[in-house]
Amino acid sequence: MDASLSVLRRGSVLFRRLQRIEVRFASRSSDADKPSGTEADAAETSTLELARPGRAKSRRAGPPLSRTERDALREEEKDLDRNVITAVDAVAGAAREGSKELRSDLLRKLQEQRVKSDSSLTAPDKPRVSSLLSGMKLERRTSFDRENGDVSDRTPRSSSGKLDSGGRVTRHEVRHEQRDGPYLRFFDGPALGIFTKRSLASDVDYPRRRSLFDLIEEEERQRLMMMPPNNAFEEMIRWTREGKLWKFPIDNEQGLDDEAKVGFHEHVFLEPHLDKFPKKGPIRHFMELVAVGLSKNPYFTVQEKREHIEWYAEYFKDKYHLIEEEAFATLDNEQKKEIVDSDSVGEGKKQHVE
Amino acid sequence: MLQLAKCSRILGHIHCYKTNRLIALSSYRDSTTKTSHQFQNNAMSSDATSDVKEIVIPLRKKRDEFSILKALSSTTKDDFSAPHFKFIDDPFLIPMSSLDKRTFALAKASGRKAANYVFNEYPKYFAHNPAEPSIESFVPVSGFAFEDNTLEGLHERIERRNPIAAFESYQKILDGGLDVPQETAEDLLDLLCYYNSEDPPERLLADELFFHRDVGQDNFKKMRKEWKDDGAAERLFKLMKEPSVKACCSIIRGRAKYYQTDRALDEYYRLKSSGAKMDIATHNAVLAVSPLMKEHVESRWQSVREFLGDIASDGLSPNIDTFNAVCFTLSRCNRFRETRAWFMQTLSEMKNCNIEPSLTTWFYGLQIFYGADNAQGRFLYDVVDYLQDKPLLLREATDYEFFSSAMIKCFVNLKDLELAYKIDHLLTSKNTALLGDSFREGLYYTHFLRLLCLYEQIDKVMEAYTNFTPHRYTPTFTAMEELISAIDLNDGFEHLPRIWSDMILFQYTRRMDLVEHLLSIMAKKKQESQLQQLFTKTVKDIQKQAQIDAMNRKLSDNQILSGKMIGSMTLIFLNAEDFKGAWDAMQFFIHNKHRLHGFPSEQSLVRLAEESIGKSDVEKTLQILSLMSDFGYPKLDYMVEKVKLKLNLTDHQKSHLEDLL
Repeated sequence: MDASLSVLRRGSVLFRRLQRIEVRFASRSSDADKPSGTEADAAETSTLELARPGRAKSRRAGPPLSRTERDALREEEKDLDRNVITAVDAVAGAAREGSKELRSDLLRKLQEQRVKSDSSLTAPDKPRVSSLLSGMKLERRTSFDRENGDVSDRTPRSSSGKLDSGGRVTRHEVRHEQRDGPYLRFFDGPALGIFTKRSLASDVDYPRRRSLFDLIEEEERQRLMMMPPNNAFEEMIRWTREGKLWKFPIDNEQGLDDEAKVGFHEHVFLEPHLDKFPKKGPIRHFMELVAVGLSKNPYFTVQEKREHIEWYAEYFKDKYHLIEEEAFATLDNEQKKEIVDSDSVGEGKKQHVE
Repeated sequence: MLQLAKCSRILGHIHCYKTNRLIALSSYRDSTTKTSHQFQNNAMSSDATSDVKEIVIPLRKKRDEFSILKALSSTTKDDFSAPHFKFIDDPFLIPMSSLDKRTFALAKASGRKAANYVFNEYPKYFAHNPAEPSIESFVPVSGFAFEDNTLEGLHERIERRNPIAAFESYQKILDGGLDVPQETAEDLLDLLCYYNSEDPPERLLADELFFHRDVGQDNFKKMRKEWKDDGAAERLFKLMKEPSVKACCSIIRGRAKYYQTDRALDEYYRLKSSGAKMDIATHNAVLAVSPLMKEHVESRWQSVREFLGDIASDGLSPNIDTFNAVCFTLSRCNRFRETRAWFMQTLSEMKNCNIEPSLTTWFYGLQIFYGADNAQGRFLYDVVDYLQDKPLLLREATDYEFFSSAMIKCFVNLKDLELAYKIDHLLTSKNTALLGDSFREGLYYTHFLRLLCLYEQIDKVMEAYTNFTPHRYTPTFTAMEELISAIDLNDGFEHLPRIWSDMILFQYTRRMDLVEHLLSIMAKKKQESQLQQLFTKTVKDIQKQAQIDAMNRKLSDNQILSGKMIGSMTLIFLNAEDFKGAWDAMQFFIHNKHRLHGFPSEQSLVRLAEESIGKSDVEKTLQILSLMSDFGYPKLDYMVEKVKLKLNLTDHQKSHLEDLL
C-alpha cells in the first residue's frame, strides 16, 4: 500500500514537473530506420552548414551532423567511458563502409549492457525517470526560462534568489551534468599527484614545541564556534569547563590536590612532633592534648598543624620556668624529687632550686 | 553453599560440588573429564570441549568529567514545539518574532556584561569566596600579579593574552638589562603576530555570537592589507638578532593572516632558499593567501601547485587546513572552466592522503559547482548522499555555512524538493546546531519554505511550517508573502485565519502589503459557512488590531488600514451574510476617506450596493453609488439603472442620482 502510494506520489510530482517542461515527442524509430548511413548523410548535408567554432574535443571528424543525428549520437554515447568510445571509433574506422552503422550498433549494444548492470543496482519498485523519459526528446529549457528570456551566464549572484533566476543552461554545464553515477566518483578521479604514498610515508615529525600561535588559533576557533547551548546539559558542560560546577562523578576531594599527596598518618600521628617538649610534666600533658585535638581537626593542613606545635614550642621556651615553678611548688617532696631526677630539662632548675 | 557458588563465580571460578573445591573457569574443561555424573548430565558438560566460554575483557573506555553530561545531552532530541533552550525563561516572555528573539538574546548578554563590568570594577565587594577549593572565575582579578619588568610579569601578560602590555614588559626587561630566554621571546612574537600588535577584539558572548551580524560584527572581512608594518611584531622581529626558524614562521603566518602578502612571501622564499624546514601551518598560511593575490586564474592554480609541491618536498604531510585553503582559492575563481575538475582532483588527493573532507570543503565545493545562478549538476545530490552516514564535526566557523548554502543552492539552482527534504533530514538527524547563527538559520529555513511553497501540496507545506515556526525560525516578509501566495494558488483557504494569528505572533500586523494580500485572498470567494464565520472573526480581529496598533504607536489609522483592505473586508462580511459588518467597514472608510490610503475595489462596492438594494435601503445605496462615482468606476451606469429599476426613489434622490452620472 505504501509503495503504491509513493509511486503515485512520485507520479504526481513527475506529472507536475512535466507540465512545466515542454515535451516534444520524437520517436526514435525514425532515427533507427536509416537505410544506409551514407545515403542519409547525403540527403542531410544538402543544406548549408556553417562552420561552428567549438571545442576541439567536441568537434567531430567527418561530415557535419544534423540536429537529430547529433541528439541520437549523444543519446548513444551517454554515460559511456571516453576510452570505450574511442575504441569503438577505431573499430568503426577500420571498417571501410557502413562505419556509421557499425558505430551506432556497437554503442547501442554497450548501452544495453550498461543499462542491464545499472538496473541491477536500483530498486525494482521505483519507476525510473530515465526509462520513462528515454523515448522522449526533452527540451532542456524550462518554461520559466522561456518567460524570462535569456539570462547570461554572468549574472551576479543574488542570495535573495528570485524565483525566475533560470537561464539557458550553457554548454559546459550540460557536459558536467552527464556525469551520472554514485557519489563514489568523488574520490575515483585523477588526483593532483603531488602527494604520493612515498612522500607521505616519509613524514618527518619535527620535534618542536607546540607554538603559541597554534594554541591561540585553536582558542579563537573554538570561541567563534561557541553558540548558545542547546540544552541544560550542554550548559552544565560549559560551566564544568570554566570550573564553576563539580565534575561528575562527584569526588569530594576535587581540587584538593595538595591534600591528596599527604597521607592520613601525617595528620593523625603527631607524636613525633612532640619531641621538643619535656617527656613528663604538665607541658607534655598539655601538648599531648593539643596533639590529639589537632589530629582530629580536618581543617588544617599538615603544615599548619606543624606550625601550630612549633608555636607552642617557641612559646613554652620563654614561659617554661614560670610554669614549672608553680607546678613544682604544689607538689610534695617525694614527687618533686622524682620529677627533678627524671627530668632532663629540670636539671638546671634542680640546681637553681637547690 | 549457594553463596559460595555465587562468590566464586564472580571471581571466575566454579565451585565443584563433588570435590568441593574451586576450579578456575579456564581450567573447567580439564576438570570435567575427572568430575562426576552431575556435571556430565548437565547440558553444559555435554559439549564441554567446545562450549567453554572465553571471557573477553573489553577495552576500557576513557571517561572524563564530561562523559556523563555528554551522555545525558545525547538523550535529548530536538523538539520543534518548544522554544530553543536559550529563549526559555518566563513563559510569557518567550520570544516569537525575530525582533523579540534578538532583543531577548542581546538583553541577556548585556546583563551578563553589566555583571562582569561591576565584578571587574569593584573587586573589593567580591572578596568573600568561601569555596574550598576556590573557584577561579569567582575570584576577581585586579591588575597583574607580577611587575612589568620581571620575567614572570611577561609570562603572565602573555598568558592573559595582552599583547601590548606584554611588549611593553619585554622592552622594560631589556632596558633593565635582563635577558629574555628565546622561548619566551618566540611566544611573545607569536602573540603579537596573531593579534597584529593590538589587543584582542572584544569577545562576544555566546548569545551575542548567535546574533553577531546584528551586533555589527560580520565574519566577512575584506581581504585588505591590515598588517602593521611598523607594529610591535615587526619591531620585535628586528630586535631578534638571529631569529630562529620558528620565529620566522610566526612572522610569515602573521603577515599572511593580515594580508601583507609581499613580505610574507619574501620571508617564505628566503627561508626556503636557506634550506630551513617550515611547519605545515606556515605552508598553509601562505597557501591560503598568496594565490589570491594573482589576477589570472591559471597562475593562481600554478602557485597553489607550487606550494603544495613545496610541502611534499619538505616531507610534510598535509592536513585538512591545507586542502581547505586550496578549495578556498578555487572557490574564488569559480567562473573558470577548469575549476570543477581541479576541485575533484583535490578531493581525490585528499583521499590519497587519508584526510576526510570537512563541511568547509563541501561548502567551497558548492560555491564552485553552483557559482552561477543557473548552474546545474549532480554535485549536491552526491554530497548529501555521501554525508548520510558520516559524523559531521564542527571544526571552524566556516563549517556552519554548509547547510544554509546547500539549501540556497537547492532552491536557486536545482529547485528540487526531494533534495531539500533529504538535506533537512540530514540536518535533523545529525545536529541542528550545525546551522550556526541566526542569519544562517534564517536563510536556510526561508529557502526551504519557499521551495515547499513552490512545489508541495498546501497541507504538507503547512505541516512543515508548523514544525519549524515559530520556535525554530520566524519567517521573513518574503517567506510570508510566498506562503500566502501558495495558499492562494492551492486553494488552502482553511489555513488563512491561522496565518493571521501567526502574523500577530511575528509582529507583522503593521505590514500593509501582507495584510492586504491576506485579506484579498480571504475575500476571493465565498467559503462554506463555518470557515466564513472564522473569516469574519479574523476580519474583526484585524480591525481591532489596527486600532490597538494605532494607539500603541500613536499613529493615525491611515497607516494601518488601507482602502483596499476595507474593500476586501466588506466582501468577506457580505460572503458571510453579515450586512451590518460590511456596512460598518464601509462607513469607516467613508468617514476616513481623506486619510486612508487607496480605495476599495469595484467589486466590493458593487456587491455592497446590490445587497443594500436587496434590503431596499436607499440611503446606503446612494452613498455607495456616490463613492463609485468618486472613483470613476465604470459599473456605475449599470448600478444606476438597477437602482432605478428596483428602488422607489423620491425626486430629490432621483436628481441626486442623475448628478452622479
